[in-house]
Amino acid sequence: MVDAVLDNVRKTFNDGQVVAVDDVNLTIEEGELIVLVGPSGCGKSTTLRCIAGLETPNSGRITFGGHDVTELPPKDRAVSMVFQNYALYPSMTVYENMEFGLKMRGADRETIDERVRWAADIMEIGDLLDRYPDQLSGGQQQRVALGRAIVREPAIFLLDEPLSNLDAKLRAVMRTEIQELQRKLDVATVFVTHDQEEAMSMGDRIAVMNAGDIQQVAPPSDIYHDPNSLFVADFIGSPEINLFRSSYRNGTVDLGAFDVDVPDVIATELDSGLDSDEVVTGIRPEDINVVEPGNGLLDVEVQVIEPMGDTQIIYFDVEDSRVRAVVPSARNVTEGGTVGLDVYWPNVHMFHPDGPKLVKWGNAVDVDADAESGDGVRADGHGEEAQ
Amino acid sequence: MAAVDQIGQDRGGIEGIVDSILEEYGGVQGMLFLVPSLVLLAGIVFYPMVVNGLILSFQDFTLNPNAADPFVGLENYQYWLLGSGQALFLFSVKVTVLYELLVVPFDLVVALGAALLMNEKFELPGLGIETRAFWRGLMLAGYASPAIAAGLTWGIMEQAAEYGIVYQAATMFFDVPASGGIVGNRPWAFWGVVIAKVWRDFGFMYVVFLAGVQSIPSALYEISKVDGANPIQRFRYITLPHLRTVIVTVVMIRTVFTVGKLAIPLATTQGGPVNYTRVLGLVIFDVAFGEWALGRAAALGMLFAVSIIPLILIWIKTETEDY
Repeated sequence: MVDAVLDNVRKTFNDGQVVAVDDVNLTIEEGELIVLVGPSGCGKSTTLRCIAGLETPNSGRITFGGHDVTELPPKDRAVSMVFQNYALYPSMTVYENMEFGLKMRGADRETIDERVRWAADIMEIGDLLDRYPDQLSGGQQQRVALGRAIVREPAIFLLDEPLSNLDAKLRAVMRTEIQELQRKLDVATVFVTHDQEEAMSMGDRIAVMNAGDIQQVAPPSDIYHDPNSLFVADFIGSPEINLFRSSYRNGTVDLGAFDVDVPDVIATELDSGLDSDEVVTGIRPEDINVVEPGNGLLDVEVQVIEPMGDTQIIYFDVEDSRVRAVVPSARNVTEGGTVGLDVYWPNVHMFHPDGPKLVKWGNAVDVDADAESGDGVRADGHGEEAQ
Repeated sequence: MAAVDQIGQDRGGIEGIVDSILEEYGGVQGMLFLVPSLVLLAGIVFYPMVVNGLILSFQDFTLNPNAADPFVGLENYQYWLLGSGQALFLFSVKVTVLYELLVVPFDLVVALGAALLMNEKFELPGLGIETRAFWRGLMLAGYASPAIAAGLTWGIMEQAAEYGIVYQAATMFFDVPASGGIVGNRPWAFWGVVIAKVWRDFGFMYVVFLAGVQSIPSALYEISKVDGANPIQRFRYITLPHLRTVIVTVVMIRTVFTVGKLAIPLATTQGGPVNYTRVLGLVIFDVAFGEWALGRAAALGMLFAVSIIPLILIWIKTETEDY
């Protein structure tokens, strides 16, 4: 059991013209499942490939359990990997695919057989050992790829978008299976995905990447409830967060369609954090509540309703921007109807227009105390427990 | 389908065969669609080769178009199989077989090596200019050049002279006699022809292999690196299995297409020294257009055609086999 540490790892392509990984620092703890998530081209796969040894960083250090592996070739790193397209050797049977790594390392027949059957047993592919990859379904190939990866008892387990080629249902099943497998093996694991939902549901911790940088590393609920930047807030969460370009002056935030007087603590944070009067207000869709017309901050016309089963997503236009709210299905709303909007202020985030978060309302203010003073805080909708 | 098969089987005999042929080709109408190409093939292949060639092989040919060519029966065949042509015939068969056995594998190795090499990046150091396209194109120079020109050029380069650069290079490693150079001495002349032939021809296999190598997913090489395979093992376990089908196919194509070719031996050594590099195709050519004994040449051509039928059958089998 080892941890993996990335220390200022930098990887550029085309003679430095493209910076894929920009001085990344990341620690993968022993036995931890960390998810690297970010949009296409953010450098998450390159980071993974640096850990695997398929790319050598231009600068920085990578250590496994304290050993510097930065310059080591992949075979000397005791990592194993699963690719998006599984990369099974087409000319070999499942058994031969699984034994390949051990065979290349000169293990004896008996050990190989024992390990392969152990891994096949875990992945429940014992009856497929004589088949060739092209005789397997996508899900079966995925299992073989995972089985091949665990055969060697890797120090670090690397998964590069392993679920992207599966259909939605199978993907959900494999998510759970990979989590269980990872817990059973208790191996430091890096899981790369562009799917924020996958990241939220799988990771012990999530590292959100953008443009070669790690923006935030935190457990899923922290990432969701306390994003440290505009990018993280925007990238994580579905439906996505509502962002209002707002202006702040003298203790009042003007969101365009309505203003809100902020408590003194928040005013102090905004005063010190902002260098102009521009501020971005972020409100998660579930923190916007629908009330009787006239009872909320403002009245709006419902544009579109997307029923999701237990909840429904309601779209409005506030000024020029489309706003999303998630409310229980039981709430009676009709397309074209007028409703009042209310906001659960403790969950509202204030961002600098350049990206960094300045303050989360509920972190700065003692919500219960303020609720009584009625300082713009309403706890009447559904609160945090509803998420 | 099944019902039709049943009927065909029940009838049995000739009728059954006719039925199954009709079914295979989509009935009478389907077969009518084949008529234009069959007529064309009959005109340009069957008439000159089978009819004309076969008739010619039983005749004593004269150049005078007004004189009738007398039929001589099996005399031409007897000449090659039992008569005074037998020694040359047998020797040239041996040369041809040996030539095939060297050229095709050699061709395969060179083409595969070139394809693997050309699959790598060729960046000019410091400039970041990728020069791979240029080298890839250059690899086809041989295949683009006329065989006769290539053979003549190699023949010149293999002479024992200041300009004979291949000869000069060879003398660094081997004891090639100065009188006659590579083209005029045994066993060097044979190798001289083989090298010229491989240089001229490897472009075909190279293009096929390059396409094959490029179609191998890079993830396979990456996972094998993680699995700990070295470059030789990666070649053995990924590249080679992936190319297996195309290797079988191009080797068969090359074998069939090399067997009758005579341009390179003709241009490089003219079949010499004496008959040392005289492949069967070259013998036919010499007899036909050197001695103008077209009847004898046709008989030899017929023997040749019959003897390569097994080769073509193997080729067809590999082409239709499902891997």
